[in-house]
Amino acid sequence: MKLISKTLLRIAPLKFASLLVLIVLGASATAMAQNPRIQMSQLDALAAKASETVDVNIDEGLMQLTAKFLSSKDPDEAKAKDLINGLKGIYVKSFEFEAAGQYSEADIESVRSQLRNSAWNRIVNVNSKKEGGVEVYLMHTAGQISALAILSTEPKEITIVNIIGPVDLEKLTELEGHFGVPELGIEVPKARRKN
Amino acid sequence: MNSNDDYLWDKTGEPDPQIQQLEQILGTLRYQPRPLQITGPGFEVKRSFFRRNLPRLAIAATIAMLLFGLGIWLGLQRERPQAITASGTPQQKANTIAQSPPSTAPEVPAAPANDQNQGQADTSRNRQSHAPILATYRLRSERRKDQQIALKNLKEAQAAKDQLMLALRLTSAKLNFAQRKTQDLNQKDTVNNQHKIG
Repeated sequence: MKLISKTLLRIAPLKFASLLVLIVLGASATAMAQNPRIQMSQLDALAAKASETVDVNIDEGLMQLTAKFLSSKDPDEAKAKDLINGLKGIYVKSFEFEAAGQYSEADIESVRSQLRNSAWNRIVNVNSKKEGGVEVYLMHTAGQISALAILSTEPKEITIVNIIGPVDLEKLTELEGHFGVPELGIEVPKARRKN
Repeated sequence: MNSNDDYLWDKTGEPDPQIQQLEQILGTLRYQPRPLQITGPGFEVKRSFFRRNLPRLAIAATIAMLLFGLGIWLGLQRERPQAITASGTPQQKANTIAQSPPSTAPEVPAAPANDQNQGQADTSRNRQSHAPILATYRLRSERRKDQQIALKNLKEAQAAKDQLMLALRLTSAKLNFAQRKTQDLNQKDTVNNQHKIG
């Protein structure tokens, strides 16, 4: 009896410790899964091959500062101000290449793997051999959109967008072409209509 | 030499001719006070500009001091309302110094409101008018620093604004592309399934 109790006493703390470790690991994994921020630093190496690179990193603090400088009188800026209200961050990385095949599937996979967890829901997945594909992911918290991720892959271009916060998709789609900024050369194919 | 040597001491005794003769000879060398005049090349006495114009310089210095004092007084008069604004509510201060982070520098205290006693009010007003100059300068340098920070923030915000616009436009373009593509697919499906429906 004594031997059993002694053994139990020896094993119990070990089990307790391992259980604790499992709980901590589980909690951190859940936290990681719930993290709306996508790590894109692994794509930085593509900048050397790219002919054009867009890297936007606007965190909450900078967003608040920027919001103060957006005029309410200017309709474009007013729309943008309204749209970024409540957002916690906007992160964009876009690489445009001179020729096709400059990036590999492994590069995209590093981002896609982060979007594959249960916190993200893929709402749109468009694939086109000619024009590439677009994947739109949303993260919901308490029935509201808490983050947006877009993964756009074209033969000569790769774009990753990560917006953290309550995003109004309808307003966001309305914004295209409203700003007075010069054209970026982004090829947005026109809708083909069949008669 | 005579037995009576008083002449030698106080000229009361009988004078000795030899001594008188000596007196006459040496008398020419007696000290006679006169201004020193050194003449000759290289020995011309020049009085410094400061010594020559000392009275004028004193008057000029007095006027300069008065003007300086007047300038400080006018500066204080102009600074006071702003200093009161700066020491007001944090919101007011934030409006005064746009986009600047909170400053840790001391602020000039606001004037105490006392309408009951006129004498006390006058005293406090006098105290206010003689507010420490150092505090004013500190306030001025603080404001200059705030302005520099605000300018830096302005540049950062302008750059961030451009980035933001770019990011939103890019996102919008990608979303629109996805939307158009899905709409296209829906149309295709409708066309393809028409024969089944018909």
